Amino acid sequence: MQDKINVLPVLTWNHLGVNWAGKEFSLPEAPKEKPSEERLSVSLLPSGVERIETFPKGKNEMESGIGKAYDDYVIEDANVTCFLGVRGKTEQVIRLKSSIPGLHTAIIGDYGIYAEEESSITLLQEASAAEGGSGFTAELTRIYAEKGSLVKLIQVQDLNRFCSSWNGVAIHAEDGARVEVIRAVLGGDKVALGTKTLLKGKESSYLLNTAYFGDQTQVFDFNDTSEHWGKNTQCDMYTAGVLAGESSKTLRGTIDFKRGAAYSAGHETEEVLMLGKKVRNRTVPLILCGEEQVEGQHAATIGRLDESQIYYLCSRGLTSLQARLLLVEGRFAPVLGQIPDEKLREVLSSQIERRLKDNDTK
Amino acid sequence: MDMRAFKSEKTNVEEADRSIYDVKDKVHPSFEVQSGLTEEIVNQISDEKNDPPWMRTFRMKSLQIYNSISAPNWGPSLDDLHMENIVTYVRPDTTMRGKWSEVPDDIKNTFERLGIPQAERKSLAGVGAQYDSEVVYHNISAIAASQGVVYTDMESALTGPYEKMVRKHFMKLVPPSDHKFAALHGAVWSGGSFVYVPPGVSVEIPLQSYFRLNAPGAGQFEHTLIIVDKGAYLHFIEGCSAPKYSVNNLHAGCVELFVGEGARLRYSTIENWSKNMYNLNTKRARVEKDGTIEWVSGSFGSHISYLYPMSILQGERSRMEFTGITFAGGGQNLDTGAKVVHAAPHTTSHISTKSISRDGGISTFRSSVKVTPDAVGSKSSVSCESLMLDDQSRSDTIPAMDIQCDEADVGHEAKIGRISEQAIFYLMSRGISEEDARAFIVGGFAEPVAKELPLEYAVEMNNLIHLEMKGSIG
Repeated sequence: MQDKINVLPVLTWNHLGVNWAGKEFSLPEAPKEKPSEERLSVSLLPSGVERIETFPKGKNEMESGIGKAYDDYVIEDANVTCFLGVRGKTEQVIRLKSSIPGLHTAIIGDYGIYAEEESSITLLQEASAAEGGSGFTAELTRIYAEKGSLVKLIQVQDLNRFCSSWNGVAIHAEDGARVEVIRAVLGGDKVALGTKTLLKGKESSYLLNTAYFGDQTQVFDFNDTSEHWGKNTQCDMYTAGVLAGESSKTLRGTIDFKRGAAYSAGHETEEVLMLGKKVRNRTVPLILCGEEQVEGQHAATIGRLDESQIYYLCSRGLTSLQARLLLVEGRFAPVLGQIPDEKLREVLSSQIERRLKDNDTK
Repeated sequence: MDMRAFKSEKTNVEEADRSIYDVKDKVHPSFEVQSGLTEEIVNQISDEKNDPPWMRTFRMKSLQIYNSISAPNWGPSLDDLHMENIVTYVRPDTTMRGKWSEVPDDIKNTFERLGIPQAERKSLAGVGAQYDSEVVYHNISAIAASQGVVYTDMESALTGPYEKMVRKHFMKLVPPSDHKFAALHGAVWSGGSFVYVPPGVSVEIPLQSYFRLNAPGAGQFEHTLIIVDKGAYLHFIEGCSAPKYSVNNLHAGCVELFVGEGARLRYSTIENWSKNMYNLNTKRARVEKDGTIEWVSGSFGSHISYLYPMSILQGERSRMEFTGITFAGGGQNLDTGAKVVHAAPHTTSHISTKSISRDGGISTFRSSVKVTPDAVGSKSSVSCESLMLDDQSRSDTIPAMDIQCDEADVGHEAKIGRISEQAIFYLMSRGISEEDARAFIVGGFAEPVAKELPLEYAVEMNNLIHLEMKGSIG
């Protein structure tokens, strides 16, 4: 696919190279395979949640942050699909696990959640690769949250370095609905992510928490947008990450207040820890505002850990490495703490600790 | 500014009084080129200005670059800017004078109305006044001249004793290939000032250039080149205005600032072009070791602006500070901000901007902070605040950061909000009218910029804000 992906909602200077993802993110041609459900496992569905064919009519107009051309690519060429209809409140976490089984394999996954009024669901999506697996994942998750519903999407991407990953999320929230997206992004060689959330209904809200760890030659490219249409809508977008080795990352984060979204608020925060002489971080945090009665804020901190905090922790008996580990764990906590599986949480936590030690330059 | 949202009554906003700026002079040019941009026109400008051969070649190359580059694919629309309708060179019917009394009456009256000679007498070490395409008056105080400070028009500098220095620096910081309007500038530039401050000289009171574009449908393309040598100090002030016509005018000036080792340059601008002006101006500074560039920028006028002064921190421990305010009213789309490149260790930058939009105006803050791998120990902070005065306006914030050094600290914060009704209510409870209360609050919002300006200009800026705010109650 040659179309540009992760396009910045309002363009800026081309020489910065942030207006869209680089050429390395051109999608490979989709393999002409038959749908293959063994690449995707879905946990047992509790009552109130059922597999559905697709979204109800008129409820699938949302677009992911990666872009419409990407969405069409996934929808047309998907080799795994899973659409869930949700009625009532569901406590049980539903797990959706995709795994690249072998060499040069593609997972093109088209997923959806249709949450009926006042329903709730938590979906844990894991993307990984078997040992020796290589190829790419191109996944799209569309969420339509009806009035008063609560959808929590937790994504853990732990692919090996022989895999690339594209992951689009498209969200539509009606009155009073809340959607939370929690992302842990650890693996993959080239990784593109893009969420786009339409807060259409009044008092709808959105939370996006992302943590990533990049090392070696990993390249991450994010494009996350929250569009506020309804009155009294709220978004909080938090991204924290570590860049080590020769890794690089571009984050486009946009809060877009449309005219009419009065009394809405949007907050975006980013923290980037740079470890290594060859890392590169690009951040483009947009606030677009066509409505007077709103509150929009953005804050970014890029660079080193705060030496005074390290000094304080060392004065309390920690070694310098322990102090740095503790501070980095603190940044990952909003994401890891939301993963509803203790074993998975520990695996990720120890992976972060190991990679941090491997890349510790102090 | 309270960032909380409260319900409020709607606002009626009157058009500000621009009568001082909008007076159209009945001055007939002694010469002007045809509208449009062709090789013949560029050659004609070279002939008129007696360009040295290298400049003639430079203009022609710039024209070729102009024709080969597209207009930006970002920023406000330039669809209504038609170069075929723009007259790129208009020479007023006078030569440059060194005495105010010798300037022709019509032109003199314009600058008198704008307060330029009064300012010169009271608080300036030198003044240059440009009218359409040519500088009509240039003067430097005896004290500054005796210190070896050079302040002259660009044409004189181009052929006089400073020719080598001009040639070495002219459009080296902003090459014509930088963007389409830099190329346009390279092809048709005319007028502007050249300043050289010798090593160790501190010019205690500011120099000022004032640019007035009077001819309808014309462009102004002045070039400002300032070299502040080792350990020297200068404050340079730039003012601009034009009357409003029904046809579009274009300003594509270029400012190149060279700040030497341990030197400090403060560059202040109050831009108040008329609201039919396309202001596509390029400003850039290169700062050597331990040098400092300080930008103070107030953007009030123009129909469309693209304005992002850029600082290249080339030397170790060099610094930049940018303080700016943009006030976008009805019919204005002002895209302003700043750019900085940290290219050496322990460099520091601080960008602080405020923008206000009202009555359907569009204000965009755009910035870029680049930290190269060599800029170890560098620090950068960006803070931008935007105030929306009604729901017909727009305010966008588009910052970008490109950090390639792990031993640097970069911070950024942005806020968008509205005037706190609680603050209005409080002030009104103390006997202040609502109109004044709003103007006070906006004045307070702009205060960090006003305090950076010389007193006369701070007063002018506050007057502009008060005028812009007049009637903005609901």
